[in-house]
This record gives sequence, C-alpha cells and structure tokens, in this order.
Amino acid sequence: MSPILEVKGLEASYGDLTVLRGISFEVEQGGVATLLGANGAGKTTTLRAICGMIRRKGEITYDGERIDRLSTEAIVRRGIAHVPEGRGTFTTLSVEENLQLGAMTRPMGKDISADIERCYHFFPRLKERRTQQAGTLSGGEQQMLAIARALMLRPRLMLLDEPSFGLAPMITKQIFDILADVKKEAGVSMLVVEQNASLALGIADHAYLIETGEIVMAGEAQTIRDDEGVRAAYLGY
Amino acid sequence: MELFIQQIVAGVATGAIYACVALAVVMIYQAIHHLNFAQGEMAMFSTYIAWQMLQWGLPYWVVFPLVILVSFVGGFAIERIVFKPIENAPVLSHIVIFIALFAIFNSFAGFIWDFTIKAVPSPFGDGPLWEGAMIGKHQAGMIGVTLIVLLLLWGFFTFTRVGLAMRAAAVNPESARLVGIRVSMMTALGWGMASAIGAVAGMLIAPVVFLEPNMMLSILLYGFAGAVLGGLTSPLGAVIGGFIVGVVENLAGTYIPVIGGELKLPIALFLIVAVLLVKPAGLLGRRVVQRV
Ligand SMILES: Nc1ncnc2c1ncn2[C@@H]1O[C@H](COP(=O)(O)OP(=O)(O)OP(=O)(O)O)[C@@H](O)[C@H]1O
Ligand SMILES: [Mg+2]
Repeated sequence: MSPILEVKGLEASYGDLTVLRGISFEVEQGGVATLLGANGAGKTTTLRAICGMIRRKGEITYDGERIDRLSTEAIVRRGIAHVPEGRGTFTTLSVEENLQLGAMTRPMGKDISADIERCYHFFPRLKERRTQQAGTLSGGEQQMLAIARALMLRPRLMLLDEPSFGLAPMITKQIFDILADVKKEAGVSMLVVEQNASLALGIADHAYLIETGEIVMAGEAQTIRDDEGVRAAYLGY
Repeated sequence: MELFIQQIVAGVATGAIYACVALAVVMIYQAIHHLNFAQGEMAMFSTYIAWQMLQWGLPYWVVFPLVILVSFVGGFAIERIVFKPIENAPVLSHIVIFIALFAIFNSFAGFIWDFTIKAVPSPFGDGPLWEGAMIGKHQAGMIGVTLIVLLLLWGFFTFTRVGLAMRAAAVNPESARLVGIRVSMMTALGWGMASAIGAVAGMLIAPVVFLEPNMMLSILLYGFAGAVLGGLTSPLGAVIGGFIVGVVENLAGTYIPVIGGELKLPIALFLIVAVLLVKPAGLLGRRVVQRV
C-alpha cells in the first residue's frame, strides 16, 4: 500500500534562516510516524510546511496527490487535521463552538452533533465546560479541546505537535490512549511530534530523528527505541 | 422635564446612527485591525445612490434594500480589489489607502451630484409619532430600523455557520485556516457587511442632516467615539457606546450653555480621550491576554 503522506526533499526557511534542508519521510496508511528532535530542530516547522502555513519547497504527496502548492484551507478540506503547537484554541468562543468549528468543512447535519457527543465521551471534562469560553480552560483542558477539534474534521491524517505539552502524566497517558483508540478504530494515520520520546515511540510504527533541519536517523520505532545513541540523547536511560 | 426627555429621545435617535457607524467600524477593525477612515464616505456615497434612485422615481422601500445590497457588493469589492493585495503591508500603506478612498468617494460624489445640499425624504414621515408625543416619526423609525439591524446581525453571528466562521477568523486567523475557513473571504464579507450597515446609517440620517458630500464627517467621528468608548473588540460595546455618545452629545449641547451647538463635536473627541485614559480597552473591550 502506498503511504498516505510522502515528503521528499522538503525545504523551508524564515527569511534568511534556512530551517529545513531537504528532509524526506513518509507516514503509512493507518500508521503512526513520529518526528523526534531537540528544541529548534525544525519539527514544528515541518508540520507547518506540510499544511501550507509557511512557504516550502519540495514534494509533498498526500493520498497520491501533490499538495505542496495548495493553500492551508484546501489541504484541511482533504482531511488533514493539525493540532498546532500552543493549541490554537479560539479563546473567546465557547468550547462547543470550538468543536463545531472543527467540522466547518463537513456538510451540515446530525452526524456533527453526534461527533460532538463522541468528543465529550472521550473528554468528559469538556462536556462540563461546554458553554465556557475556551480561553478560560486550563492548559491541559485546552490541549484536549485542540485534539477534540481536530477529530471533528474526521481526518484521515492528523498532525500532532507535542500533544503532551504541559499536561500532567495521568492526562498525557489518557490522551495517548485516546490517540491509540482513534488510530485503531477509525484508522486515522498520524504524524506525531513529541518531546516525550518514549511515549511517542510507544504509539508509533516508524520514527525519524531530525537535527538542525535534517533527518539523521529513520527506522522502525522498535529499532530506534533500542538504539544506544538515541537512548542516551532522547530517552535518558 | 419635558425638554430633558425630549433631548434623551433625540439623543437615542442619533445615537442609533452612531451605533450603526460604530458597528461598521468595529466590524472592519476586527478583521484587519485598522480603523477605516473612509467608512463615513462610503456611507455617504451609498446615500447618494439612494437619492438618485429616488429621483428616478423608485419607491423608498424598494430603494432601501437595493442600496443595502449594492453597498454590500461595493464593500466586498473594495476589499478584494484594494485591500487584499496589501494584506500584510505595514500600517502606513493601509492609512494611505483609507485616505485615498476617502478623497475618491468625497470628490466623486461632488463631481457626479455637485456639492449643493439635497433634501432626502423620510420614509416615516414628519411630525410627532402621535399627537403630542415626545418622539418624532422619523426618530422612532431610526431607532426601530437600527434595532432590527442589530437583531439580524446578532442572529447571523450567533446562529449561522458563516457567522461563527467570521467570529473564528477574527479571534484567531491561523487556527481558522486550520479548520478550513477561508479567512480572507471572511474579511471581504466583513467589509461588505460594514458597508451595508453604513448605508443604512447614511439613509436614516440623511433626512435629518441633509445630503451633501461632507455629511458623514462628524457622524463618523461620533461613530469612532462610540466604538472606542465601547471597546473596539466588542460589537455590543460599540453599539452601546454609540447610543451613549448620542445621548451625551445632546444633553451637553442643551444643558451646558457654553457648549451649545458648536462645541458638540469636541465633546465626542473629549470622550474618546477620557475613556482611553481610564480604560484603554474601552468599556466592554478586552485587553489581549496571551496565555503561554
Ligand atoms: N516565525 C519564525 N521566524 C523566524 N525563525 C523561526 C520562526 N519559527 C521558528 N523559527 C526558527 O526555526 C528553527 C526551528 O523551529 P521549530 O519551531 O521548527 O523547532 P522545533 O523543532 O519545533 O522546536 P521545539 O521542540 O522547541 O518546539 C528554530 O531555530 C527557530 O528559531
Ligand atoms: Mg515545536
């Protein structure tokens, strides 16, 4: 089966500062790939480049179609949901409105309300706060909201930028369990960026190590996890 | 007492117009974070179009919705043609274009329809609302139409998908793109709606102030005052601010002898400065709090 996302020679820069120097990787259909790397390596930039939030060069193929010339809106419409770094909630809108917005590109109808209920089932905390302004949620609750909003798109590919950021270990585990569920039940493919490497390697099939804008190592998550160098640098044991 | 009530009523009536203008200003401010200096001139131009159609003999209640529609399309087109290309340009470019638009509408109105003042009839008629009433027919009409406009807008933003998308685009454009909203289209919609609301304000106030190319100058300043008073980030605040400015303006003009008719405008400007000193974000405005 061909990969759902195939990135070849991706380059991106901010002004004069080149951040991505031609990186290549793929995400398999229904699979999870993780992108690991130190702060400033270019992980966030990679995700932003994929969904057209910054200018990029190189080939990005999603589901057999080149998307590297498309606008962000057009890319989202094809079923790619991005949970951005910093969560990107609509702070002055209610929790429920945030969820409705996640389904903006889908035709109106009953199944949207059903999906909102499903999100509340995953994250009961959000249900309690459904009428509250999203900006008044705690950091962890906002992270849940960001993930729930992404699910509302009924995506085929999710790009997750540090979903565990700022979360208590319990909640982090909960969120990764939910992501594992989503992967298994809905067959959603994922590209996960994480500081918590052991967590990411736990859910991923494939892993890529990125250093100053270049992929320095790639392979099965299992193999990467067992690698001495990776252990020392990212896993700390 | 009677004079007092009369002045309040008159204040609420003109305040309704300021509220519309303030709302139009806030609408564009929310989308592009600049004050549209040309808002008043756009409204004035719409009013001339209405006058022209009336001259051609079209009935008022045909002209009214037609001009709203034309103004919507015009505002939408201005955004697409003039402002879309300079989306990310510095503030100064925007200001230059606002001033250019101002001058263009002002002189074109004078060129096409000359600078002599024109009377625009009130669709509601003259005289008091009923025998001995303290509110005039046209005043009541101004307030009534404004309330309907506000109600429609509220419904649009609360209950429709597009309304929600517009709010989302104003709150967080980047995230709006990430849920598939075409943010720049929302900006153009905002311009169209602002232009349409301005047209309503222009058509309602024209029977009171007479139609001429500079008709909206002071009204726009009052509208700005209302918007700033209520808070540029809050449409509701802008509306309330507009009404407050209208009432204060009228009461001050009547009861503070030195102010009289001539100093009413400085009062509005004084209000802006005073509010900004005490509450920089306006009465209902939000200061941007960034969560990290
Ligand atoms: N908007 C920007 N303008 C200029 N430089 C930027 C911008 N965003 C990121 N950079 C630079 O690009 C490099 C890569 O940033 P990026 O955000 O992709 O890193 P990251 O791998 O996600 O790091 P972290 O783990 O800290 O989130 C950094 O050196 C950063 O300073
Ligand atoms: Mg990052």
